Amino acid sequence: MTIESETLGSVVVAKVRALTLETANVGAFRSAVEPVIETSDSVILDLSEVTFMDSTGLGAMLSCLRQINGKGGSLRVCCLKPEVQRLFDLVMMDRVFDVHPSLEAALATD
Amino acid sequence: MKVLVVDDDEIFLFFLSENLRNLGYEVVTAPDGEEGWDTFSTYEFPIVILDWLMPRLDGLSLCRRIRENLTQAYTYIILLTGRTEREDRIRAIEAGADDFLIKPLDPSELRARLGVARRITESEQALRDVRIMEMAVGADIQRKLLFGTPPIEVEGVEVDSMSIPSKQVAGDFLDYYPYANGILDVLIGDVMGKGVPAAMVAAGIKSAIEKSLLSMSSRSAGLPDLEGVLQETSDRVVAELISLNTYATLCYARFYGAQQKLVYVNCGHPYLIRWSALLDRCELLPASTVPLGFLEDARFPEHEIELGIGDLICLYSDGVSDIFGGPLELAEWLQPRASMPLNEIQLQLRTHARKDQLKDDATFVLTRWTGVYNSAKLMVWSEYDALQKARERIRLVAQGSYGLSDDAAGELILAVQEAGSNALRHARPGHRNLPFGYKVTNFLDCVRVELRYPGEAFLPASLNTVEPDATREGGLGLTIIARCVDEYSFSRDGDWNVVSLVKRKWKPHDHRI
Repeated sequence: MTIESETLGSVVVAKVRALTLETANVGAFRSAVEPVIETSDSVILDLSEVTFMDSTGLGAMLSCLRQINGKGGSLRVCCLKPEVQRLFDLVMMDRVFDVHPSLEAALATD
Repeated sequence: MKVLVVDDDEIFLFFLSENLRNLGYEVVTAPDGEEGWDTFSTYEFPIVILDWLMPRLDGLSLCRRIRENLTQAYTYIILLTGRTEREDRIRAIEAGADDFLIKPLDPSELRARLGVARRITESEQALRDVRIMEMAVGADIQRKLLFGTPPIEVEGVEVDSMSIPSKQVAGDFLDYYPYANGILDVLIGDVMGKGVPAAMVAAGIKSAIEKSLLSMSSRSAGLPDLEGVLQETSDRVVAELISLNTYATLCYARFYGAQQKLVYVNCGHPYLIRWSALLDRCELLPASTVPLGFLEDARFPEHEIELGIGDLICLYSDGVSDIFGGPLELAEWLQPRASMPLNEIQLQLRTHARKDQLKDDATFVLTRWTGVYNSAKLMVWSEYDALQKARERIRLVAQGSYGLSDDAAGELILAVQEAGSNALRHARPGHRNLPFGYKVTNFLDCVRVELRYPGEAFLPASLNTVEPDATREGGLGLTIIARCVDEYSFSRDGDWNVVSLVKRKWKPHDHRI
């Protein structure tokens, strides 16, 4: 699990390089995402490679969101695969996260 | 003891009442036949003394009326008369009188005759008490010894049964014998006659069948064949049945969940009804032989039926077919309902049966061959990639032939993941070596995943106390499970936690298969 981050203007796009975000690798995700969250106020999490996520993975994303919101920043999420989208729909995470279908769409709201 | 005295002669009524009270009786009086009838039908009395000649309704008519209306207990009727003619006495006896008292009354004769009345009503009451107790014992025998509950889980076969007892104890019996490899035996029977004797014979026959099963199982490696079991049972009990002048109809059916077949022996029991899901048609399956107890040298040939997916087999007592007028009529009733869920069919039958007077016990067993397309067991140790292994394996079965849609499989897998990751967090905190047993089965109408693991008991309500620091994620996991599957349960089996998750292939209101 790695996070590939790229700065586009004032926004950091963090791409999750993993097929899953779940109980098994949530620790690795937390460590990898931590520096990005700490150093940036405006982050887009690109989930285009993640095909499966569980509540633990979602929980880790929620703590990122809390952390960024806490310092007045913003976290956007983009490129959800159908399986991940289903999880978001099930627990109504689209009301909690700012979700975009593509990276372009996420950037356009900046 | 209560006595009702009906006489229009006030002075005589007073005199008689006083005498009776002095003898220790509780007395109620009425001045004429109609009022006497009202009082009697409201309170009931073990002893009634009636004057023959009265206005509105005379003693003879009142006597007939009392006899025509069957009361719970026997009523001893004494007719007061000045008549001594033989014909009059015969008329009174024919109207239902038990004894006479001649006016004017002789107090010692009154005492003697009431003594007889008291003795008869008391012994009748004692007999009735014994009968009531016997009925209760019989009903208890029937409930405890003669009716088994259907097994919860037999792969490939779904079972639901219902029994509506009639007012009296009967000789119906029903039981299930599930075997490990998806084989289920269903035994249903009915002993001739009613009451405790029938229930006792039923218990004897059932016990003889079970003894035969046991002794045959101990003699050979495979499952005992039905023909052999019934032959041995018959050898054990037929002489006794013949000497007791009784017999039993019974049907012994064996479902092979994994092999799509039903084998049965029907000894004079109502015809099995088979509904073919493919043809949407009901048929009656032929009987094999005469009832047990008819012939000493009876043979018990087996019938074998090939089952199709969704086929329904209905076993029942004649109490059920009698409601409809016969097996054919029952089959006609069943036909348009056969594709409904089993509990819905039972519900409709119960509603239907309530409308009619139930003369006999109604026992109704429905078994559906749901088919097992594929099933897999997976045992993993709880390193974190175990969950991924389990997901892959479960997806293979869930989306195999006749499997779930992509979306449905995705939801089931998400629920399985949540159950597993929840187990990792709470079962043995900090301890990774936890065995996880998964069992996934693809049934006709659903896919079921069962996860078993040892460790701390997990009850959803206790989540917040178990994991105060991760309440939010834990709660999220349960929410996901609840929304992803159609049925879920958390239970305990010894030291093991058992999580069962069921994803249906269609919604319950779609009755068509």
